[in-house]
Amino acid sequence: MAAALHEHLDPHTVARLESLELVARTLVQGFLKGLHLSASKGSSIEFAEHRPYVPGDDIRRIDWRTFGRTDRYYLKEYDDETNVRATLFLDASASMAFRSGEVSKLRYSVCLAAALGYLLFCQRDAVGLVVGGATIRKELHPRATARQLKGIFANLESTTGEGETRLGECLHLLAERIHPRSLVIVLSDFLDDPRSTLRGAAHLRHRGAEVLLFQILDPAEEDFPFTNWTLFVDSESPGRRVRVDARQLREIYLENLSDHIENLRKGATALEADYMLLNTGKPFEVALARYLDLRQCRGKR
Amino acid sequence: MNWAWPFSIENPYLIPLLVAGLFPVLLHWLDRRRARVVEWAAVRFLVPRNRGRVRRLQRLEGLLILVRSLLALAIAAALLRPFLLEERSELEELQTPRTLGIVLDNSYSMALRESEDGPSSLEKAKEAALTLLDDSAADSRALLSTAASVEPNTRNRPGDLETVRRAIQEVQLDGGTFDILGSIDNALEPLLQVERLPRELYVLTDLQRSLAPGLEPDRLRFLRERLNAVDGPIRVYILDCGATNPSNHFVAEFAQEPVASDLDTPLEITGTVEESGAPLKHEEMTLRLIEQGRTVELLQAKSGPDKKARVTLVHKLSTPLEALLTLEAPRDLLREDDSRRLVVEVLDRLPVLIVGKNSRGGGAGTTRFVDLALAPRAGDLAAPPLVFRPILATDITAQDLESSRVVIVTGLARLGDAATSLLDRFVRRGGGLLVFASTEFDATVATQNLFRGGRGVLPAGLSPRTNPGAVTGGTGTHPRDIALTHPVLEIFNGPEEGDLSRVTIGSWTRTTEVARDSVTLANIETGTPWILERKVGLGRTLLITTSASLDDSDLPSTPLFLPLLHRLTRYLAARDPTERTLHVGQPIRWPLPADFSGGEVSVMDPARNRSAAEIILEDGHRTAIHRQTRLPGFYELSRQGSAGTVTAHFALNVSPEESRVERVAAVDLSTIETGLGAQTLRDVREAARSRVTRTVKRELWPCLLAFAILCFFGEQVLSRIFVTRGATSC
Repeated sequence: MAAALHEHLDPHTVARLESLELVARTLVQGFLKGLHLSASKGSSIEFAEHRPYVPGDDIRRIDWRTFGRTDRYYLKEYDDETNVRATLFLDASASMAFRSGEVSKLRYSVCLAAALGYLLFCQRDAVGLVVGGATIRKELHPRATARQLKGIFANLESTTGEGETRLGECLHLLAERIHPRSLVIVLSDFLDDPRSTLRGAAHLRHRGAEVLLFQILDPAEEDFPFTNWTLFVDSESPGRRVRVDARQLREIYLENLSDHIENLRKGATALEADYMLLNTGKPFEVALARYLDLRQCRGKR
Repeated sequence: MNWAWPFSIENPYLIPLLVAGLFPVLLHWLDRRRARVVEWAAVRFLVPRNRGRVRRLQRLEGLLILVRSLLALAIAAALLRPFLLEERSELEELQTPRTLGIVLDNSYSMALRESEDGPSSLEKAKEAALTLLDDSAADSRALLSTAASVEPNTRNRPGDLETVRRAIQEVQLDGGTFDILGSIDNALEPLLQVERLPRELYVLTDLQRSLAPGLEPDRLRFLRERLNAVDGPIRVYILDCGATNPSNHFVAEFAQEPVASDLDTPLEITGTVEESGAPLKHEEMTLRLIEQGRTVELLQAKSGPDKKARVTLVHKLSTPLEALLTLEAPRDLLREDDSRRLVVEVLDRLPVLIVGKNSRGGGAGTTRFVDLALAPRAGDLAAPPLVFRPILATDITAQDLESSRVVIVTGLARLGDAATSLLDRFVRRGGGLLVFASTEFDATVATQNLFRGGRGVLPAGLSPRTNPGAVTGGTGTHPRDIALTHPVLEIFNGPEEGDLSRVTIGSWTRTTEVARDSVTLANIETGTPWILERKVGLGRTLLITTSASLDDSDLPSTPLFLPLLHRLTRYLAARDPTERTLHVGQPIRWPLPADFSGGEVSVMDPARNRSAAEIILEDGHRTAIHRQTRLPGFYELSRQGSAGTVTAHFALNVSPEESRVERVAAVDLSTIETGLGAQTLRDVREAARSRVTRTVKRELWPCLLAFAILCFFGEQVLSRIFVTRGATSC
C-alpha cells in the first residue's frame, strides 16, 4: 500500500501527467489516503477544549450537556473557523528551468504549487498565485472558488522559466499587496542573494503573514557530480562563463552551497518563517506533510 | 669520481623523451580545451571567496602536472636504458687489465721536429705510446693502427703488450694524409669484438690542418654511436704530439713543360717553394737542381707575399733515356719535403706513324703535306728527330703502334674493328693521336669507330662535309678563342712564330657532338671547334677539323704550319707526368710490353733495398706493381727484355698536404672532441694519468623506475588531496 502511494507521489511519475488538475488531485488524494484523513474535515470544525465561563462570554457557547453532568458552566472552544488566505509564490526565473534528470525545478515547483492549491481549495481556503522572477509577472488574488483554482492551474501550466532572479524585490512587492495574516508559500531555488531574500521575507512577516519557504534544488546542484573540465554558463546571464576543473572545485562548491542553505535556514528561523529544502527527486508528500504541519501549528496559535 | 651524462642533443631519443615528458601537460591542455559546456544556475558558488585559496589550488594543480610529467619522463627514460659513466682515478685501478687501441699518425707531417736535435713528432708519439703500454697492467692487451692502414683490416686483433711494443718501435713514416676518423674506425672494429672491459682508444697525432676536410657530421655521428657500444663505451683520447709553433718550407711543385724531351733541346723546368706555418727567418734561399745525383744549377729564390718562391729555368739534359732531376731547397726541421724529384724521359728519336688514305709516297693530299712538314726544318735541327712512316688505316698492326709514340691520321676511308681496337688501346696506354678531319677523311667512319658516342678516343663526333673546296683569295673565316696558354699553342703567344688567328679557313668538318671531357683549344669564327683535345687513359687525342693540306685552309702554306705540327707531335709524345712522378704511399705501376716473357721485375728503393714487384693483369695487360713506397726518392724497376735489361725510374715525393704544417683550427678540434666525446691531451704523463682512469657503466633504469614509483605515489596522494579533500586540505 505504502509502495503504491509512493508510486503515485513520485515526482517523475507525477510530472509526466499533462493535466495539472489531475496532478493536483493525484497528489492530494493519494497523500490524504496515506494519512487516513478526510479532506472535508477541516480544522475549523474540530473541537479544541473546554474552559470555564466568565462573565461577558456569549451564553450561546455554553455546553449544556457538560452543565447537566457537572452542574458548572463551561464553554466549548473550537479551532479557528476562519478560512486561510493563502498565496502561492512561484519563482519562474531562468535558473528554475535547470534539470539534470527528467524533472526540472520549475516543473517540480509547478506540480507542488498545484497540489498545495488544490489542498487549500479542498479545505475551503482562499488561494492565490503570484509568479515572479526579476519582478512579478502574474498575480491572482486569493479566492476560494473552483474557478479560481482552474485559473491557478492555467497560469501554472503556462509558466516558463526565464529572466533573472530578484526574489527579494518580488517579496517586497508581494508584501505590499497581500492581506494581513495571509499564508505565503514561496517555491524557489533561492539562488539569489540570501540577504535580499530574507529582507523580503521579513517584510512579509512584518505584514503578519505566515511564510513557508520551499527551496527546490536539482540533485545535481546538491551533489555536483561533474568530474572533468567543464565550462559553466550562467543560465540567467549567459555572458558569465566559468571554465573549471570540476573535481578541483567540487568541495568549494558544496561548501559554498552549504553556507548558502545554512544562511537561509538561520534567517528563516530568525524570522519565525518555515523553511524546507527539497530536491526534484524527493516525493511531494514530504512537502505536503510539511504544509499540514504548519497549518496545525497555525491553528494552535 | 667523475660522472658524465651520456646524452647529448644529438641523441636521437631525446625528442621522444621530451615529448613523453610533455604528455601530461599536453593532456591537461587538451582536457581544458575539450571542456563540456553546462548551463548552470549556481555559478556564483563556483567562485571561491578566498583568492589565496585559489592560488593554493593552482599551485597544487601545477605540482600535480609536474609530478605527472616527471612520472612520464622517468618511465620513458627508464625504457631508453640510459647509463652514467663513472670514471675512477684510484691507484688500485692501475692494475686493472684493459684493452688499448693505439692509433699512430705516421704521415710525413709527423717528421717535423721542434729543433735541429730534438725528436720528431713521430718519435714523441711512439714514446708516448710506449709509456701507455708501460703503465698498463701486465695482462692488458693492445692494438696498433697506423695512418697507412686506414683500409679495414679485419685481421688486426689486440695482442699482448710486448708484441705491440715491438710493433710501435718499428713504425716508420709512411705516405698518405692522416684520416683521423678512418683510422679510429679501423681500430674500432677489432676493439668492439673484445669482451674485456674497459676499452680505450688513443690517437697520437700532430693535429694538422689537413684533418679538417674529413670531419663530416655523418661520419662523426656514426663513430660516436659505435663508440657508445652496448656492452660498454669506448673512451677516446687524442694525444697532441705536434710542435707548438710549427714552421716549414717545402718544394711544392717541380715540373717540366709537357712536351717530349731530348738531349738537344733545352727543357723548361718550373719549381715552387712554399712556406707554411710561422714565418721563416730567411728571405732568400738557394735552390739546387740536381741531375743524376750531381748538382747542375744553383738558383736564387725569394718568397713573395703569398709565401711562395717560384723559379723557372731552362736546362739541357745530359742523360739519355731518363733524367732524374731533383730540386732541393735548404734544409729545415721537416727534411723529407725539402726536395722534390722528377723523372724526365729523354727521347733519342720520336717515331711517328702517319695513317693516310693515299698509298705511301703518292699524291699531293694531306699525307704529303704532313710528310713534308715532319721533315727537319731548314736551318733548325729540331730534336728529337722525327722518324715517320706513312701507312693505310687498314694496314695498322700492333707492331706498328708498339714502335710509335704518335699516330697522325690524315685520311680515313675504312677502319676495321681490329684497327679500331688497336688505336683505342694505343691511346689509353699513353700514345698520342693527331687527327686531321680532311677532305680525305670519312667523318661517318671516324664517328662510328673512333668516337662511338663519347666512348671512343676522338674528342668529338663529326658530320660529313657539304662544302669542300680550297680557299681562294681572302675569302673564308679565321680562328678565334685561341688558348694561347696551352703548351701546344703558347709558341704563338709572342711575335716569334707568327699569328695563328690570321690563318684563313675556307671549309671544315662540322662536329655533331663533343665529348664532355674534351677541351676546345681554338674555334673557327662561325663557332665550330677547330682544335679539340681530349685526355683518354694515359694518352691524348687532338682533333683538327680542317685538313693538313690547302684544301681547307692556307695554314700549310704559312710559316705557322711547321712549328705547329712539330709542337703538336712533341706534345702528344710527352708522357703524363703522373705516370712516373708519384706521392709516397701511392703504388708504382709499370705497364709491361706484350712480348714480356715473364720473369721477375726487380725494385730498388731509395735506400737501395731490393725486392720483387708484383705482376698483375690490368685491362688485359700485365703490369708490374710495387706498393711499398713509404720512402721518398727514386725507385728503379728493372726487367729482362729481348735486348737486355730494361729499367724505369719513378720519383716518389712527399704530398704537399703533409708539408703544410698549420695546426688544426680550434673549432675543428672542438668538433672532433664533441663529436666523439674525446679528450685532447698535450702531455704524455697526462695521458698516462688518464690511462689509469677506469670507466664504469652504471645502468640508470632501476633508479629511474624507483623514481617513477615515487612519482606515482606522490601523484596518488596529490590527486587525493586535490579531488577528494580538495581545497580544505590546502
